[in-house]
Amino acid sequence: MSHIHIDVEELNFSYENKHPVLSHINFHAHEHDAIGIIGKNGVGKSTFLKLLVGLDLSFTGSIRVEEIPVEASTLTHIREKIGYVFQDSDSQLFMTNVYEDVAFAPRNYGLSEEETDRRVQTALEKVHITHLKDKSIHKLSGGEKKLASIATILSMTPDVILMDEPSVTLDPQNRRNLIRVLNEFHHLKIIASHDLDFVMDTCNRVVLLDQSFDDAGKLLGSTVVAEGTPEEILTDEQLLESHGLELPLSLYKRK
Amino acid sequence: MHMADALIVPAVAGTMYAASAIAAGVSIKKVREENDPKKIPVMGVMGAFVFATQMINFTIPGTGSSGHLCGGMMLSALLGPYAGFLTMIGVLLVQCLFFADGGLLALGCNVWNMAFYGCFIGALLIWRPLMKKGATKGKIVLASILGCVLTLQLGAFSVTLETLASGITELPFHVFLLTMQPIHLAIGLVEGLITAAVLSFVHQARPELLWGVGEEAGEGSFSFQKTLGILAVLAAAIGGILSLFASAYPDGLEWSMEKVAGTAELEATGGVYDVFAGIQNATSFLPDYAFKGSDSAVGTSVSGIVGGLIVLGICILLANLLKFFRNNKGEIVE
Amino acid sequence: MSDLRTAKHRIETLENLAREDKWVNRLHPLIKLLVTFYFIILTVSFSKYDLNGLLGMILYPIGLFFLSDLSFSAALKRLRIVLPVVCVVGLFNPFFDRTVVAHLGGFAITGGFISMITLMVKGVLTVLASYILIATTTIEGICFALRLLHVPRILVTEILLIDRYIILLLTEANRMIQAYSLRAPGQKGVAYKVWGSLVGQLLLRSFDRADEVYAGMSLRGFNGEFPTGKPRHTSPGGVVYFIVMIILLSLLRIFPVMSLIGGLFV
Repeated sequence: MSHIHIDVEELNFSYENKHPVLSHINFHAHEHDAIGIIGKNGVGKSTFLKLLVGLDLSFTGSIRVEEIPVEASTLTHIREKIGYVFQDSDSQLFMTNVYEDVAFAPRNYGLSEEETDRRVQTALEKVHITHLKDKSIHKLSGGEKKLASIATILSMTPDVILMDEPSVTLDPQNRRNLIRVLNEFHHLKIIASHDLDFVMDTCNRVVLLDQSFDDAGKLLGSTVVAEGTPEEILTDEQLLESHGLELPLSLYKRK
Repeated sequence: MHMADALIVPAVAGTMYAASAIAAGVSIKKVREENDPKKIPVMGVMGAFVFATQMINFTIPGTGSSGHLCGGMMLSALLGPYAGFLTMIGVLLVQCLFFADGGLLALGCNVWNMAFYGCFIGALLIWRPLMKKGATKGKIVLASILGCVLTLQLGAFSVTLETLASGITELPFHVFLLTMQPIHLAIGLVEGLITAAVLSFVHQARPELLWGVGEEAGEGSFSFQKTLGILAVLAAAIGGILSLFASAYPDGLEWSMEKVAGTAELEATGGVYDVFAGIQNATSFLPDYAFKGSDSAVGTSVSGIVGGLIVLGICILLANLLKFFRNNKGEIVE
Repeated sequence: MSDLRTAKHRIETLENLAREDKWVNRLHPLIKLLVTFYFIILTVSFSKYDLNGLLGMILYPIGLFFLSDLSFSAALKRLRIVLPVVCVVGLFNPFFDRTVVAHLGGFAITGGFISMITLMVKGVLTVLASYILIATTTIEGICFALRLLHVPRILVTEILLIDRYIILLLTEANRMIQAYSLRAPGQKGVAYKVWGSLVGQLLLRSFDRADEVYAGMSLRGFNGEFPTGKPRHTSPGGVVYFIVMIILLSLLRIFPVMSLIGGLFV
């Protein structure tokens, strides 16, 4: 694995030039980082992740992955390096059974059936769902779907894993299982979530996004309002509450 | 309006398979030319959507009954005729697979009767010309009702022709037709109203999703020549079906059968006759050429039924024996 | 109102059957598809008075019900939809074709009666054959067979996607209908004024879903071509099965087996 790093500078984005979503974002991520992007609903956490993989290219500023800018001509290369796990597993998993779905990317990248098979086995082992190999997608539970979603991108052997609200719709046991699985990975991980307990358990850095307004009260878009270790950000009750969040439940109880 | 396998003969099935395959081939070419990979998931998900909405009961105002959606017209107003047609093929194929109601052989007929008219006639001859100068609610309602009624009438007409051409029913042409068309007028009206309601909603919420709206006649768009072309294909297809229909009553063939097999000596040796007739049957897939009025046919039918019962009895016995052994060994012996 | 749930249940039941690991299930899907198709063509090719020859074809579904250990009563339920249509069409035959072709214990048997029975038997046999195919073969298997038959990739892909999203959309539609009927007690179906918005909402959601699925595909290297894999667990005896079946079916088509057996006793 090369020394992967992502550099975002002065990123601005708005939907169809009307509604500003992101404004002046500067962000840097390095190998072995596990970064939690937190913020209340609608601040653009998912949009930010989507821009990193070039799902929308109408942004200004620069996004670079290992010094390669995200633009139309580099998408194939970038998407090989970065795997994106959707919030809704049903959009991520579009093939009929787990094996076929995990094999989708390797086959698209032109790998032989033997190599594809090897990749699929490895990916399934990494998330501990080898036994679900032949199961129909619609028969999986929510937790199993999430793990299968992760396997579908692991089979591309990415250097970076992006996850959008991974803990949403998971029951406590599946959630704990997911945390365990994620902590076994040594990829660069970027996790967008408002589940602060989950972020606490999986990340070593936290970036807090919130909307900013100009003097006239006009929305400029979301920007980075705080950055630091989970211990610094997630224990700062005043900071969190002023941006529409609450202390993680685990800390709240201890208080 | 689903055709069952049992209602058609292989010649009709083959003809309709060929006609549908040509339409599918043209559609695939057109969709490929558009080169929009996004169409693929859209077609798949919309196919599942049509499938699901077909299961919804719509209460028909003023009556106690309910109607259902078929979806061809609606799909092509959203995806265009080509992608719409391919999506409908998928829906019909999956329907005959998932529900296992049969229809593998009749698929060509069903695609033609339900998807071809709905998508091509509905979209190209009605929807597109009406929406050329932009869509309004009134025009959407008009196009939907007109499209659904017309395409269902054409579909019902085809069902009648295909069934009669297969020669499995004694129902006279006009009786069959007079039953099918009015029923499908009512069905078409309901389908039209549902389609109109849904498309009006889409027009209000996300007008950009509607296909072919506000397109001025350009090079690639619909022209007089193309109308003629489509009508010619249609005429040829209907002509083909009609000629099949005619050939279901081939005097010449019946005459030659009598000459070959219908002699007294052959009838006397029943077994040989049966074998011979069987071979004749196997070599010709056209129905309705023999045995009418032949006593021996019924005579052998009786022994056929007896034979059937005996075999059934043996089978039940075997099944019980098999179960007995399976329970003992725990595994089926192959 | 329960149509949506029934549909979902039917699909799931069939899928469970198809995924079982039995001998017939393991046969190559292409072979099963071709044999089924051959059987259906042979069955409908019998003339409408050839009840005698047609009866022999019953052996195929009976034999396969044994081999595949499928429930016969579940299969009979499938007939509920097709049989009425076939019967209605056939029911008129005795009225129009009154040529008496035989007398059986004082009853005059007409050609129309024979052709009606023939039609019904054809209806039952063709549906049973399709049922056996689907109950022992997964949709992926059939799609793989279709690819081998050079059915265009775009169609096969579409079928796979419909297969994937059908349960999801049925569930979603069912949820909407439930929410609707909770607030519209006593209604049998969906009232006219909400036709547009109810189906329309589902439609827009489906479009959004398709957008996201496309995003998911393109992130994993999709460029318009859908890769298709191989069915696993196919047994090698397929070719033998194929040849044996084609020969047996052809024999059944040529020789009126049932009347030959019956002839020994009558």
